[in-house]
This record gives sequence, C-alpha cells and structure tokens, in this order.
Amino acid sequence: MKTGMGWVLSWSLVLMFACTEKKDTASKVDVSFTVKGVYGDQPLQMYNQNYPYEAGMKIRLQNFQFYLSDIVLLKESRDDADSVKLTEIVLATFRNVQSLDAANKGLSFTFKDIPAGNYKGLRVGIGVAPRLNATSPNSYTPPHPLDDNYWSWALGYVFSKIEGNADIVGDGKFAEKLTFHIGGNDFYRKKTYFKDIVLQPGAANHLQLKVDLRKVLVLDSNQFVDFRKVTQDHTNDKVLAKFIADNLVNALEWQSPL
Amino acid sequence: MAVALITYIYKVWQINKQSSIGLLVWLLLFCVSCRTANNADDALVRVAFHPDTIDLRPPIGFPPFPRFPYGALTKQGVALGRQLFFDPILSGDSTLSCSSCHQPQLAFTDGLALSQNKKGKQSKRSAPSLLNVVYHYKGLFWDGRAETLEQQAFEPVTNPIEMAATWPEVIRRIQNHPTYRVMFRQAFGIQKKTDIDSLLVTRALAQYERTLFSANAKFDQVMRKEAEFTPTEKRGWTIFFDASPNLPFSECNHCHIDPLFTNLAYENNGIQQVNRLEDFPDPGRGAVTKNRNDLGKFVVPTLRNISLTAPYMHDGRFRTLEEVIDHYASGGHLADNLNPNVRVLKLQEQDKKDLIAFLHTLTDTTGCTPPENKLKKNENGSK
Repeated sequence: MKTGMGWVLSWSLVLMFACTEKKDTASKVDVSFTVKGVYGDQPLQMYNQNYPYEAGMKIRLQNFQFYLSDIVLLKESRDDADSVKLTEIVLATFRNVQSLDAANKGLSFTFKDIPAGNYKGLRVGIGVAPRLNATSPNSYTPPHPLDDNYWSWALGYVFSKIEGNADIVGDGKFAEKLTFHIGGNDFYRKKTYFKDIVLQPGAANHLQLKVDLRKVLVLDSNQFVDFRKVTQDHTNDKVLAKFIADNLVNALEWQSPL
Repeated sequence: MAVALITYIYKVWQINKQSSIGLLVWLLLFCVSCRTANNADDALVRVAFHPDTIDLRPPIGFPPFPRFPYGALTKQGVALGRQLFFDPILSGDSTLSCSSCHQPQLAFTDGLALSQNKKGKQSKRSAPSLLNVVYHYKGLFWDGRAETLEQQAFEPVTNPIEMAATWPEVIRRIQNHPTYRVMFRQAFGIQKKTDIDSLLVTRALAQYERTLFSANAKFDQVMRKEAEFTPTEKRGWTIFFDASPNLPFSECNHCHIDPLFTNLAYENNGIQQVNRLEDFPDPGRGAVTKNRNDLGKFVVPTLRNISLTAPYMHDGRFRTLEEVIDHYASGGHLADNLNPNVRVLKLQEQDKKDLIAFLHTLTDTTGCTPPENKLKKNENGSK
C-alpha cells in the first residue's frame, strides 16, 4: 500500500514539474528592439547627407553611437518596481547607417526568452552602467559590445561618440573635424518610459526608441555646441560633456512602432 | 574485372602482339604503383593519431580569444603549421615561403615598402605583421577581404605576384612528401595521403599563426608593474593616450587601442590626396564592401613592434616614425571619409621625440625568433 502511494506521489510530482516547465517555455517570447536615428525631421544617415545646423553652419556625420545599459521592463508604473532585464548592454552605433533605407530601418536588436506578460514601462541606462564601466575589454570575448571604445588611461568606456565634419564658412568643404567623446560615471544617465507594454506569444513583440541627433547638439537657439568655438571633447571639458550627456537623455524618445 | 582484362589482352595478343606487350607493361606498372600507394597508406594509418590539445590562454592583460572556427589548437597542428609556414614547398618555383614576407625577426613583416617575389614583381601593399593575429576577427589583409585566418591562407599560394603556385600542384608535392604525410596524420588523422587537401593545409597554417604573440614589451611589463617608464616614455605615453589636458593630444589612441594597439577598424587616415573618393589609387576596403564611403580605407595596423616594422602604411610610403608623426600632425588630406580624429596636432619637437620613445616601449622580440627547421634537407621544398 505504502509503495503504491509512493508511486502515485512520485508520478504526481513528475507531472506537476512537467506542466510547470511547459508553461514556462510557452510564456517566453522574443522581443525586438529598434533604435531609429533622426536629425530633426530627417532620417539620420552617416556620410551621405548634409544637415543644416545653427548659425548657418552645416554638418555631415561619420559616426554617432552610444551605449544602452540595463534595459529593463517594469512590472509597475514606478521606477523602483520589480523589473525584467532585456539585456545588460547594447551599443547603438549608426556608423553603418549610410542609406535612407538603412536609416528608415534603424538599428535592431533581439532579446530572447523574455517572460510574456503585461508591463508598465521600459527603463534604459544611457552610457555604460558603473558596474560594467569598472570592467575592461579583457573581460569580454570578442565580438562583444564592450570589446572596444575603452579608455585604458581613464579606466572606463567611451559612452557616446559623435564624429563628423562641419562646414562653418559655407564653402561646402566641411573642413572642421568634429569628435566628441563622452565617458565617465558622472555622465551615466537613466531614463524611464512609463507605457503599457504587452508581450504575448505569437505576437510581434516590438519596442522602439527614436534618437534625434540634433537635440543632442542643440538645446535651443542660444544653447548649442558651437563648432566655430569647439570641435572636440574627450570629456576634458566637463561642462560640454554634461551638456551632451543631458541632451542625449532628452533626445532619446519612445516611439510606437509602425 | 581481372578476367575481363585478361580476356581483352588475349584477344589483343591474337590481333597485334606488339600492342599487347605494351598493354601488359602498363598494367604491371599500374599494379605496382597501386601497391606502393596502398603500402604508404597502410603505413600511414599505423601512425598514432592522438592530438594533444593546447590550452592556449590569452597573455596577461589581453582579452579572451575570439572563437576559433575549427576548435582548439593541437600541438601537432601547430607543429605542422609552423613547418609549412617556413617551407617554400608552397610556392610555384619553391623559392618563397610564408616567412619570406613574414620574417620573425622583423615582427613577421619583410622590411619592404611593397612585398615582392623572387623575380622582383611587387605587390601593391606591404606585408602586415602577424603578431597577435589571433585577435583579428574583423577581417584579414589590409582590406579585410578574408574573414578568417584559414581563408586568408588560401590566397598567397596562388597569387601570381606572391607564391604563384597552384593548389593541385602544392597538394601533390605535400602528398608525396613522406614527412608531411606523417605530420598530417598526426595532426588531422588522415587515413590516406590523398586526404591531404588545401583546407587542411590552411587549417594547419592558421593554427600556427594563432600562436604568434607579442605581449611582453616594456609597455606590458609596465602594465604588469614589473618595470617603469622613463620620464620621457611616460610623457610620450600621456601624449599617446591624450591622457592629460596639460599636454598636447596626439589622437593616436582613438584607433590604436591597447593592448592590441589597433581597434581592427578600417579607416582613411588621410595619407592620400584625392579630389573624389573614386580617385584613390588603391580602393582598399571599398573594393571589398562595394561601398563608396569605404574607398581608400585600410585596416588600422597594430603598433606593437612598430620599431621593427618600417616602412609604414599599407603602401610603405613613410620610412620613419618621424615621417608618420609629421603626417598625422599635418591633419592629413581632407576627404569625405577622412577619419575626423586625424586633425592638426600641436606637437612640438620634444613632444614628437617623447611619443616615439613611448612607441619604442612596444618592442617585443620574444616571439621573433625563427624556429629550427626540423625537415631533412633533401625533403625541403621538393617539387
């Protein structure tokens, strides 16, 4: 009798475990995540497009990139709510976005095996989170987002880069070289988008952000990075670095996927 | 089969006695050669195949290795690759080996502006160093046209201005080489000599190349706190890394990132004046990607052992480090795709000297000794 009961119990446990496993597997989904770049109302392309700038200047870009750390979904509409991590780090780099088609597609990332369900928000870290910024490329097997963009002399990553050229005299030569590299824990930022997000099996689970490079450089007609005065920063100019880091937060906006 | 052959020969004998004798001789030779080949293959499978995996680890201060396409290296695979690397058997006229252009004592370069073969025919580019090439996961050659070391090794063998051989001929020589047969057996477990093919040759070469490191320069010793920079070297270090607002920037470190001293990216560093990107005499990366914006771009080379690898740039146009620094200080030739980090520098003569002093701390001759040739003399470079 005891043996029989034991068998029944064992089988029940096995059955319960199997059901739980099945439910867990079924409730995981892949989430696609897109970051689209724009410059004002135009798609953002490297190399092949000139963009109007303040004070009659024009700019042409070769690279715009930034790290996004600790991208999480919030279970409730408050910043300290329980969260589900989508990824630890991605490098959003527009270096190879050189055509209108590529610009319209944006940068795509896929996060696998994310629990389906209803979420109340998305939070991103803009830059390299301090705990990751304390590591170095020697911690990562290439290819990895953190295998590059490292300042060994400063023991930290370059969080964002804006590189290109400016035409400040209107001769069409774009002779001013622009290189703005921002890094350091002081310039790490977080941003939360409180939105109803539903992830369900079988659905196209898609999240999308838009980043406006113009907003990174220009706050208003009186406050902008004036390429007639400055064309470079290695975060040695802390005021400029803060200006760019703060602007990047505002420039990164939620966008409903089309 | 045998009965049919004998019947056929008998019939020929009845018609033409001379022809049938020729046929018999041919048949006899065929049988003997088959037997010889079988004997060689029989002997081959009796050679032990117990490859010893090498626990290859990154040097201290270096990142983990990118994935190896064919798994772990073996002692036997590396030994075979090393033997092939230094053997002119891979060239059409048996005069050039890989090491002709990648000489260990020159940090695996050849000291020439443009590589050339024995007949003086010049390549359009210089021979890049192979040290730390294990990390080159973004492409090989100056334009990155090969994705892996294995793919890279295919090309020089047949390139008419390099080794100018054909793979079938090279493979025939290696298959007929008794020592190589055994080494291929030990490395890859081949069953018969005809199992040796170009894929295995390139896999062996790649295994050897993955063991070529430079990681013990004075710079590394300083990083490991085993040595100290002189004041001049330290000042040069600071300028190199743009590490102090009180010293001029050199902008080197944007692309030459330590510990590899390259970020493996493809860049136009402004050495060539062109009116349009299409005018670059060497299209570089653009020929591979078919992207106009990549025209005139080349991979950022490592600066490790830079004092041993003159002349400089993909076409060897600069003879000295002083010339290189003067170029960068000038800001380079403007072009639509000139890397904007190449900008006019405010370096004084002392700054340049200190920068060069720092660059000399990247010299490391640890891995720059040619290995002893273990093949018998009469086996080398056999045609």
